[in-house]
Amino acid sequence: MKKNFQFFIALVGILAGLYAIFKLLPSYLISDFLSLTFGVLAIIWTTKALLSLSRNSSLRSYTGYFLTALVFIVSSSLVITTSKLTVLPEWTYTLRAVLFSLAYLAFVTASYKILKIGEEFGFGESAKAIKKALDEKMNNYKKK
Amino acid sequence: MLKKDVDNFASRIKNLKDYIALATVPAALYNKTNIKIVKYFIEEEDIPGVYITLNKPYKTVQSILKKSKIDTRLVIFIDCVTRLADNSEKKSSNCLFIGSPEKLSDISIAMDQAVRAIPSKQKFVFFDSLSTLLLYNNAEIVARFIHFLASKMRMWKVKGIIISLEKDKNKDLIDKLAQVCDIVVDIGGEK
Repeated sequence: MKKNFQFFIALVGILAGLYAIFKLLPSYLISDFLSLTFGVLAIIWTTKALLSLSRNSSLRSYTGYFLTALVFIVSSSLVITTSKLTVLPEWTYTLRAVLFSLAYLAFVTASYKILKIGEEFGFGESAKAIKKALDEKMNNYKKK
Repeated sequence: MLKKDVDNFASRIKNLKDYIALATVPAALYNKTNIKIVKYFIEEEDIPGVYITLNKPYKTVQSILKKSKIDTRLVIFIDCVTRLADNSEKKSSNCLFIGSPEKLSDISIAMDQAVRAIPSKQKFVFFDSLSTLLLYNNAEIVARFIHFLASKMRMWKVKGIIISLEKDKNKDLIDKLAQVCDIVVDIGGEK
């Protein structure tokens, strides 16, 4: 019951936020604000996940890289949106490019980390060995 | 006493499809009990499974099981001990080495992956042991982890065995966990 209520409140909040974005903002800023809203939501969820995972665990380390990538990408979106609202100094173009590059660098690192986790936690070989052993056992029973 | 207790345990679980059993064992009978239970699953029931060891390194467990003529090819091991001493070990053909018993997230993921990889309808999960988990984590975290593990075991539809040493020292925790387990067995005890 409590969870349903929380979900309802969250849904109303999101819908109200979306309504406000579409109603109050000029059309050329809608996509920027939507990106920022979802980006911030993604950062909040990822941070919560990071805090609840065990210290030094593989998944926590992956989550850390993913969070870094998200922070860079949202920061770069923030610079883009701000530049549409006000005149920013020229160096912010470089900043935007740097943030974007860092975001992709963090994404690549996170992808490599998840590749390693996949290799580490995958049990495909063990499964094949078990299947072979089970088949051998079945054949032995049949022979008997 | 041990044989009678394990036989009694086996007769209680024989007709159950999937369950979670908490077995409390005195230190003196710990090794023999583990071997008997694993042997029961592999040799008598022909069920493959996952053995999570927090007490002894994988190589030691494997050699003990092999000496007892248990087909270890049917077991996927998750070793949370070896890397405490040798951090270079990561994975062997049927064992995944977790850094330490504190890494509960990694243990959960490894168990989930291992159980789902086993190509058989019936599987067992042998968790050795609750008492060692308590050496590295506080009681509340362990209780939450075992509670989570129990719900996972129900979802996986496996035969789950959780071993605990020294019943008296872990009494509060065992009483809590008894509520989420289907069977609580006191091996070598008076019950």
